[in-house]
Amino acid sequence: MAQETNIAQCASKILDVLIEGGAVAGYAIKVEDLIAASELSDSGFDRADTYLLQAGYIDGTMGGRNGVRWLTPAGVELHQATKASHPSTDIHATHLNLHKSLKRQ
Amino acid sequence: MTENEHALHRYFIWADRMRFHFDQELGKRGQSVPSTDPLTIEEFMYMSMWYAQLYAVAEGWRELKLRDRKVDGLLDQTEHIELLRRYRNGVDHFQKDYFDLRFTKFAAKENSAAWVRTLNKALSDYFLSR
Repeated sequence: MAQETNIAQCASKILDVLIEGGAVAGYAIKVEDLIAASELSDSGFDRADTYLLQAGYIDGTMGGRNGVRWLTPAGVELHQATKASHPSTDIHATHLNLHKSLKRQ
Repeated sequence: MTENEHALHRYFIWADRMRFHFDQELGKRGQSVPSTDPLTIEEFMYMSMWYAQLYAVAEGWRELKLRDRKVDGLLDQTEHIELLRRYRNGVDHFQKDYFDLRFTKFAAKENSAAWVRTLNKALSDYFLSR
């Protein structure tokens, strides 16, 4: 299971999966599949899912794990803005991974 | 250990404690950090404090004209030490850009993680031998 530091990171993982799956209206992803693909815990997913729904970044149907989710235009824009505003994320992730491998030696 | 070395050792202890906390944060991560994951506030904080403080030790080392083959060899790597100096400036002087290049250039520099850890270890070995 992926490390869950805060609700923003959980929400970002959900958006990543929806974007990669092309989940817009008419092409929804089942909640059960979304949880599995995002590798989030149930509680981490629930909090982020509630936030994204309330903020209007995603839409969906009821039914728990059998419900479905899709991106709204605001959600697509948020994903784009988030990725664009953090150009150094992959640099720092690589740097961290190098530290992790060196620390083990 | 001379009085001046003793004073410098204090700065090194501060740096190494930040390294310790940074490593503790790394230990909370899974096997690897996904490329889309930003650093947590704690990771960024401890890593930055470590780097900035380590540069202060390097400055003191040069000012005191201390000599050690391993430490000097690492400090002679001018590109790394210059990027570390700029990182320190980014830490200790307010930058308007959240991801200022002072923070990213050192991280992007080839072998910077290995270099900074080796320098930390070399300084540790030096002080332990005194």
